[in-house]
Amino acid sequence: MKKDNNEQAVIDEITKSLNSLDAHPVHIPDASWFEAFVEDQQKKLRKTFIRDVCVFLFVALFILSGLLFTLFQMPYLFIVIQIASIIFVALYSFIRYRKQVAPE
Amino acid sequence: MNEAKIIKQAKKGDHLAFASLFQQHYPILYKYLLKVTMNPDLSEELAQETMAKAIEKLPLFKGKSKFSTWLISIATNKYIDYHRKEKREKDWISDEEAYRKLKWRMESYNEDWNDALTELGKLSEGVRIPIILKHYYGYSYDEIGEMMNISAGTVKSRVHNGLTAVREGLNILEKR
Repeated sequence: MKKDNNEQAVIDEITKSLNSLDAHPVHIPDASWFEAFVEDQQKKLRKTFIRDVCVFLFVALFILSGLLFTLFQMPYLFIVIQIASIIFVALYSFIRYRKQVAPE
Repeated sequence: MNEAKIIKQAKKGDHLAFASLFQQHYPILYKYLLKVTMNPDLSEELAQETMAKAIEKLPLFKGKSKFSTWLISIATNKYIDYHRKEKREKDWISDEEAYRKLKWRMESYNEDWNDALTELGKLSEGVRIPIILKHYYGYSYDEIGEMMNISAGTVKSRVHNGLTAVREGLNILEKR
């Protein structure tokens, strides 16, 4: 009981001290600042999205053209790459699964 | 216009709706950050980072919680990330300076610098945040756990240990 009272006293003291921080004046920028900030962030997001899509397309085209080249010019290498990919995916999935179920 | 309608407009990309939402919630966000960081400059910086993240993630906001709760959750993670990245001696010194600056500002506004604030400032952010969220903002252990990506049990033990540390600190101060 005494412990509970002590804890409540500490909580009251903390609440009181945090209330005094609330008295600290807040400088709220005007509406035009918020509008400019949002527009600026939206522009940045659009730019990042376009950049990411370009990088994705570039990498995808590079991999696809490499695979098509091996398929028509070096079929044996194509088969080796396919087998290696399957083994890699299977091993990766197994390791991930084992990590998830491993006891802490 | 009510908040739900403004959020709907903002989700469509309306920058005026976003601006209105942020202007409305800025004081809550800043005051929360000031309490957890005890650093006015860092609070402003993190408030801006939080708003930037909110613009990016608003399509994921389902409206299950209040918008202010969602912003507080983003701000909490921004502050935790900031500490993860900046664990260096130099920043510890700048934290100390910011802390002294806040104390000086409070005193210049004739506000008492309470000893509990000093003790709260000594706690790590992982302990200070749950105490503030639980006992000042009234969030449940589950809600705090979701915000910080930790279990409710961990939150409970951090709050308990934090309160014990503050109590011991205050007792030592009283004995002096």
